[in-house]
This record gives sequence, C-alpha cells and structure tokens, in this order.
Amino acid sequence: MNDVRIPDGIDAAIRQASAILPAQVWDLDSVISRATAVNRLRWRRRRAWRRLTGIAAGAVAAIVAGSLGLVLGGSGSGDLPADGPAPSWIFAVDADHLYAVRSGCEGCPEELLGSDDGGVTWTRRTDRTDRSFRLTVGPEGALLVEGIRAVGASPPAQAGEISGTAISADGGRTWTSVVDDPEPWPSLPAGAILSCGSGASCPLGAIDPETGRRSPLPGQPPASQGRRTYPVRATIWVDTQDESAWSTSVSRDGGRTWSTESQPCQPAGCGAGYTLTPGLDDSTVFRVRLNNDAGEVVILRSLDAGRTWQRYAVTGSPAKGPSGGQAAGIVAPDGSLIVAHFPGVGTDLETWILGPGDTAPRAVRPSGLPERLGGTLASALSGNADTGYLLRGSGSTVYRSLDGLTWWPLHVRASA
Amino acid sequence: MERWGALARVPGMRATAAARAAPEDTDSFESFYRGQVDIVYRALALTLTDAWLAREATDEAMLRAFARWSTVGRYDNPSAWVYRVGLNWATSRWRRTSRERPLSTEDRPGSARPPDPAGLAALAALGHLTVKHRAVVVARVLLDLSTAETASLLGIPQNTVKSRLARALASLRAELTMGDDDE
Repeated sequence: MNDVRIPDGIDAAIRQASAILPAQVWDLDSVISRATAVNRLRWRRRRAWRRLTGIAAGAVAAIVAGSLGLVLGGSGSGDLPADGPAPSWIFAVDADHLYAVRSGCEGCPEELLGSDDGGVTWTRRTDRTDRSFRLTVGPEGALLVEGIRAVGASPPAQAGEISGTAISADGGRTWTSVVDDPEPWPSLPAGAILSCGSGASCPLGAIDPETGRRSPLPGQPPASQGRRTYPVRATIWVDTQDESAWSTSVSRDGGRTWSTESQPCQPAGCGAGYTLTPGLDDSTVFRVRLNNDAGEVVILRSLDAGRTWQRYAVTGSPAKGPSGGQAAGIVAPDGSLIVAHFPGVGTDLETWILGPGDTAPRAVRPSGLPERLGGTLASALSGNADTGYLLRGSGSTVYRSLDGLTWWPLHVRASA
Repeated sequence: MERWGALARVPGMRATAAARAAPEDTDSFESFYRGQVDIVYRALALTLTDAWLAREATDEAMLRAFARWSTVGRYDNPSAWVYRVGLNWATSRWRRTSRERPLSTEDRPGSARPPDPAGLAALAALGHLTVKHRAVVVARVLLDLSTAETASLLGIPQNTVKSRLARALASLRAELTMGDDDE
C-alpha cells in the first residue's frame, strides 16, 4: 500500500513547530531510581518474610466510609472507564499491590479496584454497592469487608454476593465468610488481619484469610478505654493513651505475650497525644507531636520498646489558619524517621529526618510533594517501609513514594 | 471510536524474538532514552498541544518502558510504543480533567530569542486540528512511520490513517497558505 506523501512544506513546518517547543531537561536517573526502588522494595519484602518463619504481622487497617455495601464481583478484569472520580481511599500492600475505592462515575456506587503492577494498571474487584462497609487490608494483601449486603443464604466460595463479613486471600477475587471461634489462636496465623484493633470491649483477635476463622489472640494487651494497634512485620505494637498516662505495648511472638511500658502525662494532662510510629525492629519506636502553634514539633525515640525515650525538638513555621498545624511521622526503609509538619492551608510541608545514628533531626527536602494536602496530614500520609508510602494531595491526586523522600503522582484509572 | 489499547497487542509493531538481543540491561535503555526521549516529548507536545502535559506523559511512558524493557526493547520501534503509552496516559488524564491548554512558547525557560514565526504559524495551524488528526500527522512526520505503522500504532485501519492524513494536510495547507505545487 502506497503511503500518502507529506508535502515538503508541511513536513518542514511541522519540524519548525517542533523546534520551538519549550526545551526540557531530562533526567534518566529519576526514571531508573523509581523503577529500581520498586525492585529494592520487593527484595526487602521477600527477605523480611523469610525471616518471619510463620509469624505474620497482623492487619493494617483502613476503613472505607463508603455509603454503600458491596456486591462482590468476579475475576476483576474487563473494560473499565479510563477516567472517573478520584479514589475515596487507597492503600498499598507492597510495591506492586495496591487497592483503591472509588465511584465508577459521578454519582455511581463505589467499586473496589486493585493493581498488581505498582499502580500502572487497575482492575475492578467488586461491582455495585448499596450500603456502608469497612474495608481492612492485611499484610499480605488479604481483604476484610464488613457490612456487606445480605443476599443469599450460604456464603459463596466464589464471586458473587456475600452476606455479613467476608475475607479474601486473593485480592478480592474470591471471598470467604468470617466465622467466629472463641478458642484463641495458638499464635497469629500467617497473613492474618487483626480484629478489634481499636476496641475497648472486645479482645484483640485475628482473622485467618484462608479459612475465615476469627479468634482472639492467645494473649492480650492491657485493657484500656481505647487503643491503636500497629502490626509491623513480626511485631504488634499497641498504643493506649488514657487520662493520666500513655502506654506502649509490644508483642514479639504473635500475640502470646506482651510487655508494656507506661509514662505519666505532663501535669497539664495528656492532651493531644504523641502519635506512635513503629520502627523496623522490635524495639525501636517513635512518637511525634506538634507541641504548639509556634511550630515546635517534638520527636520521641525509644530503642527499648518504650521504657526510655530520647527527646528531640524541631521548629517549623507557625500554624496558619483556624485548624492549626499538624505533624506526623513515617519510618523510611533504612529505619530513619521522617517527620512532616504542615503549618496550615496555603503552606508547604516541612520535613526533617532522624537517622538511626543521628543525635538530632535535620531538615530534608523531599522531591515531588504536592502543593496542598487532601485532608489532615495524619489521614493523608500513610505507609511504612514494607508497603511504600502514600500521600493524598488536594483534588484527585495521590502521591506515591517508596523511600519517603522521592514522590510522584499515582494515577488511579482502570485499564482496558 | 478506536480504543487506545496497548501497543504490544498490535502484531505489526512486534519484532521477532530473534530480531535483536534481549536488552535487559540499563545501558540498553539508557541509550534508547538519551536518543529518543526528546523526540517522543516533541511528538507528544505537538499532538497534545500542551508541552507540560507532554513532559509528564513522556516521563510516565519512559518509566513504563524501563519497567518492561526486556519486552519493549524487542519491539521494532520502542519510541512508537512510548509515544502511544504517553498518548494513552495523557488523553485519559485529559478527559478526566477536561483540560486543554493551547500550546504556548511564552513559558519556555531560558529562551534567548523570539521563536521562529514559521514555527509559531505551524503550531497555530496544528492547533486547529483534532488530537486524532494531529496524532496521524505527528506519527508520519516526527516518528517517521509509514501508513501501516501509524495504523498499528494508533489501532486504526490504514484507510482511516489515510483519510485523517488527507484531511489534516488539507487543513494545514489552508492554514499555512501553501499551494499544491510541492506535492
């Protein structure tokens, strides 16, 4: 077949148009570093899981405040709209596996999307929804859904509508109904999702993604009016902050035994507590708190699971706006604590890093951070060394990082 | 309406496995990147009429090319694959944000002299085409693809390539006040 010839004049004109385009500075290193960071994370994760020898971390919970329940779908493939509203929620299991919840279109019911290639392509894992649900993601990608529409008498083993609470061990493709068993686990099952991680009136438990069994852990952290639970690798951390003291509890044996360290609050009371951020080993733990509207951020670091604390302080910009400033921390893959301070609307994020051997935090300037946040800093910033990190910017963009310092926009859109 | 599917599924764009050695190393990609990234960027910028969107699209597409370099590097024309992935990325993002900003050279950093008037006129003329027509013209001129390769690249029949190209050339010719004497 003969090609249509391009007239010389038009060919030259197009090349002239090309020549006056804005020049760009290209950075091959950033392309390679982004790609190799994914590979490094995979390797670290494989190594970490080999070490665990059967003791898996519990669930890392995330809750979808969906307005609807789920009708759980099938294989998850198929044509999906390439565009659509921004995800209402997104979570990374590791460098490759991510989940997002969004509406299929403006005003449509929400659907669960999954990506197995680091967010490059997304496929649908559920279909329509019709009432509230909670979604919790486990350390190996198990999904727990609570509050699903009750249709049908028997829990299906394959795709379809599911009643009650269901768990999936294969990324939302097939589901198993959760069944309670009061007999405690001998130890935390591999890949289990913790249950009642924040409750005061129920025992801390775990759900096996393979069988759907939900049972209490063999040992329990101290009773408290409320708690926050942080499973990281083979360690389970529990943070409790009551009226007069805050406590750090840790289990290193899958919930069989616990050790607890408590510190009294300052005379003025606990107030806004120090947010716990677990380190990478079973002894290092951090707490971060914005101390005042002058922008002082206090960092506490314990190398003995909360028995003793080193105190550091950095000062950022004064709080701006009625909501005041916010501070939060994440632990980088090398064990450093990266502290972020957000003074308020219209200001930039300020960040510091405290390395494992550092005696003081130092300012650091991550690249690619969004200009504005979507939500509070604590809700917008998430992740750890195994999952990578996510930061929700304003509008529709979610930012991704694998080292906490280099960020890029992650575009959640389903692929054909 | 054609789907902007993955180019790897287009048989015509694949090389045979033996056509070239498996380029799995970074050096191979680096060579490709250094030689082609600016070409792909300029092709996308002319197609999208948005230089900064084209920059983002090029970065995204190059990242994906590197991640799959053991496969993409075997294609006959990896640049075309990157262009296509960048175009997919940009057009889906485009539709979502309903964003279309006319291409401008005003924000060119470090420009020491005024842009070539002929280039500006050509930019303006391209701006009057649709993105589908620009994609055909750019693929033929800047990416140096044949009609068949352009059809494979864009996932459309060759006759559609021809009709779009004919219409685009007619429009450009009118905009640039050219005669037919050079055809």
